[in-house]
Amino acid sequence: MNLIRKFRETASSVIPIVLLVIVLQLTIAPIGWRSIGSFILGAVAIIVGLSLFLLGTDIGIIPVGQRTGSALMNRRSLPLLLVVGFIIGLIITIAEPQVQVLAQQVTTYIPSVNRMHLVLAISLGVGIFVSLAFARIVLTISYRWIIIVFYGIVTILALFTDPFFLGIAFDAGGATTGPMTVPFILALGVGVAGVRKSKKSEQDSFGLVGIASIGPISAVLLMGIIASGNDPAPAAAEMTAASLSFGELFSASVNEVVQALGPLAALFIIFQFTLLHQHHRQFIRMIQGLLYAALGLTLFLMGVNGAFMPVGSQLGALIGEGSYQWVLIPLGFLLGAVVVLAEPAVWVLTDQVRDVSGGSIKKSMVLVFFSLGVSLAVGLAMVRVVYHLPLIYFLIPGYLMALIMMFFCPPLFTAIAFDSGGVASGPMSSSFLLAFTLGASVALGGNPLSDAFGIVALIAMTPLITIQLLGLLYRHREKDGRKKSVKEDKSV
Amino acid sequence: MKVDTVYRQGKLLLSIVQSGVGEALVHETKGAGARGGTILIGKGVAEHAILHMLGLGDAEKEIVLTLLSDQHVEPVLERLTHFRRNKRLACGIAMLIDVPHILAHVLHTETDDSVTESQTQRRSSMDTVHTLITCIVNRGTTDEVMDAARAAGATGGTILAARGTGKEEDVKFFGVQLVPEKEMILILVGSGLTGKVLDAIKGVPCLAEPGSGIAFCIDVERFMTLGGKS
Repeated sequence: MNLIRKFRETASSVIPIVLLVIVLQLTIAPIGWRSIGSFILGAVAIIVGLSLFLLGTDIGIIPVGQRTGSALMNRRSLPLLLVVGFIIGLIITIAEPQVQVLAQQVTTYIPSVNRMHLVLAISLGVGIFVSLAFARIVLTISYRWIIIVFYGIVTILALFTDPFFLGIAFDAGGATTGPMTVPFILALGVGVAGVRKSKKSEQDSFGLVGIASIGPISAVLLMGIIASGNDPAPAAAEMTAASLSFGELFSASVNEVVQALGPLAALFIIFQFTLLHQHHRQFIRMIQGLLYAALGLTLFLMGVNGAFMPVGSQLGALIGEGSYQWVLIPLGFLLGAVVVLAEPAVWVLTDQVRDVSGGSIKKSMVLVFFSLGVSLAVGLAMVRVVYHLPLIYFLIPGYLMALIMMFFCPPLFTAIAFDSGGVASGPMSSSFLLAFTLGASVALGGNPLSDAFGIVALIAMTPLITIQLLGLLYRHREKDGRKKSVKEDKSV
Repeated sequence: MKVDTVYRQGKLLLSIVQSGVGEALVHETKGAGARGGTILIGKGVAEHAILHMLGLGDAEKEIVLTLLSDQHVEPVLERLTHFRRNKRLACGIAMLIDVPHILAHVLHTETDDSVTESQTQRRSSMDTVHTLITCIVNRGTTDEVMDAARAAGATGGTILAARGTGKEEDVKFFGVQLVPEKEMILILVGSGLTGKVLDAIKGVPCLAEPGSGIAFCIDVERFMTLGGKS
């Protein structure tokens, strides 16, 4: 049964985090057994929530996304495809809780930015880019060139923007693609590409999330150019790690989920009557899936916000104040490696990769390279916190490397890699890891605004490199395999 | 040395196992003489009605196809009776299907017996106890097929994603053919039930309307459960 299987998978990815925190409690960061207790409770909520959520996406969100994609394609109307793509991107982003949080943060620091304008800019950005990604598939424009052109534009914009906006912009790229939207957009891509009889349909199945996250990056950068001249208020970053009561926590999480799920459910129902006309059995399945996903995500967010976030900032602060500050860096590598596996969308993406490739790309391999990537990201984020290095020193070489690798990596892996950027930077990294980094940065007496923020941007970047690395390995192995089989044939 | 391409008689071993077990199974059969195996990804449909109703019934499965020449059938099956991943629980099923022609490459010197054998007698003693019913229908309609089959007494099924090949006259969109998305469902039933289940699924819209789906059944020579209590 799938639920038990998912339960086992998520448990085996969350338990290492708990063990790590217990080891820290016993050694250098005694946060107190009370906190450990709440952390374990939170971990249980996360495990159960994540399993339910993944089950819900499996039976509800993914099938509907795929059906919508293929139904749109089968209508054979480019304008329809583009308009619906735009609407989907716009609507699911405008309601995304993480976008609201981001807009809130930005307006706190720079009061001259209008919050509604920012949210609208980000959502329009996603809408335009989803529709662009559809157009690319239909018009068979190479993914590589789309990425090159748009990252070129992003780079030019970045040169004219306040460096402060740079971090926010790249954070936005990762943050907008939340746990509800990523599965839907991923499935949409698989559906659109799946009905086309083309050699490229496998690689076209991915890359939608990657293109969609360029939207918010450029939107925020543009806002930055417009708002420049107003120096950001040097307000100290305050991460509300205050202990919420259970009731508050529950209502906050439910609120967040309803906010993200509502528009998606509305879209689904509209699609049902206009595009899909699913059998009533499938319609019931879809509703069931949405309910499971909502329930799961509520539990998950309660665990993350109620237990993981406060413990994260406590840990960061304790180690930052302590005499073993250097520990932050290896600990960052370790934390990154384990925490990414508790990120909901990561499991959704790896499942899709396995299905589309017919199992030839192993789920476990992709997970290992995700782990490697985020490990690198959090490690580097800690280096930044300890040595106060600017984000740009990491982003430019990183993205440059990812872009160069595109020319050597099999296109399928490039597309998966650019998706994985948005996928890896989910609620776990934007709460637990960010809280940890902020805590450490404050304790070290640095400027958390410039040193700690940007960790999400790093988490969204490094998988581009490691997943493409996996692609290179696969290509290498395939070549070897072919040589071998030719040899064997000859010897027979 | 000359290599000949011939057709031989043999068996197809079709195993449906839990996700992640496929490779171990191929490894096992290779140890007993099989040349290789092909793994497909599928989805198991619940046997349990309540789980199915709650949407909890699906399970990830792997389907392993292994072609065996006659002399390897017994050793491979023997090996599989000891195959288990878990002390108590079964990890899948395996069925043996007769295949009249398997493409094989053999050294010229070996050919004499194999070629002639494949053209002569085929075992006719088909006292099969199981039948594998296969339907290929439009994607998303397998639920209806499975419902009908279940009502007629079938226990479970396995679904594979597939797509039609597309014909010349198929619709094009910006120069690229659009192909119909399909699903293939495998339902194993005891021979006593074959007629009943076939009759039941005949009435399902996705098979009843001309041109929307196909169904066929294959006799299974032998059937075994993999793993579990011996």
